[in-house]
Amino acid sequence: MSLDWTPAERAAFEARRRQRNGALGLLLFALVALFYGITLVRMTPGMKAAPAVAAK
Amino acid sequence: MPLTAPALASAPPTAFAEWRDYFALLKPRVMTLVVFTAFCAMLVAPGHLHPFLAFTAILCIAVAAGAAGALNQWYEADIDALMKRTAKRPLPAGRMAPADALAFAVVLGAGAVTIMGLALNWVAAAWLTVSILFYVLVYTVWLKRRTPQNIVIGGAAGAFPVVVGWAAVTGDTPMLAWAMFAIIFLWTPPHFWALALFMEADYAKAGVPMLPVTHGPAHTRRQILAYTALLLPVSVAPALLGWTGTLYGVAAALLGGWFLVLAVRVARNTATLAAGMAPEKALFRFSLLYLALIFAALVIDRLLA
Repeated sequence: MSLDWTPAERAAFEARRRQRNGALGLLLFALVALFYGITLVRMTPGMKAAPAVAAK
Repeated sequence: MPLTAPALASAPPTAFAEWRDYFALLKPRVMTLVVFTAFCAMLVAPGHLHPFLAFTAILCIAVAAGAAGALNQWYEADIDALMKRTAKRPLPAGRMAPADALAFAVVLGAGAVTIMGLALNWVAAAWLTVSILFYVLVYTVWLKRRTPQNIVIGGAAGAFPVVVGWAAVTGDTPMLAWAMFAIIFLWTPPHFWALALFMEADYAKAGVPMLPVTHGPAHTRRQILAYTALLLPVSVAPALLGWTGTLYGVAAALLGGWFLVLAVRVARNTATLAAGMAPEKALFRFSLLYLALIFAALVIDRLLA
């Protein structure tokens, strides 16, 4: 991390970091939703995936 | 060390990319083609898949393609910096540190394969792994800078998603899946070489051995014609072998026939400047339509069967 940033550079950096953290938060939430959905579908009786899995 | 000095030098130590840069790293336009072809393969494959699992499979295929694209950009930052078309990408433009791009790509690729294996099946996950490794190791690292046939190899990399999509539904990869693979494989060289003909200067500047750069436009035009001529029988074969219905066969023959007519026009063209390459531009535009229509015909044929 550079210590000789101007206030404007620091503000721009912090804005980018906030934006990126927000995107990461959304991504993690989407991942949780995806795993929740997959679990529900796979645990519901009669809901089979491809034969390679179903044959197990 | 695969990443060369110009790329490293262009990334400042304070590079902190925005989310848009990470998204651009995934090559979203290439992902569109991958998603479309894989989705068509999933519709054509016999069997039922829960819509949520189908969505998961498409997501995994798209993310894996994005990861492969990101690894490609990480490795090629040096030549991307030399081409007008690619110089503004996050790595050559210095908006992202190479290590961040590499970590992002590896996490996405590994995640997509793992979720495909756990949610769908491990046959699809294995082919997904092959598709990423093929694109990155065989195409990007090994052959792209060594042979003018690089686009042919790249075509195979772009064709794997149909096999993955099919395997996600059925857990196997029958001949029709490989026929769809062959269509994309043979479609790629005419599509990209037509583009390379009128973008030749850009590739020459970066030192990428694209066929128009190494062998000249006349040889490239003959190769375009040869691959298009091969594409026609290969695309009609599934109908002749009884794997699909007549509707697909007629569509494949008409589309392939017109593709061939355009390729003949390209072969007859002698222009060396982009301004005189109307046949090449027409073939490039039609090639996009061709792939969309032939796969749509396959899906409609299967849905009507």
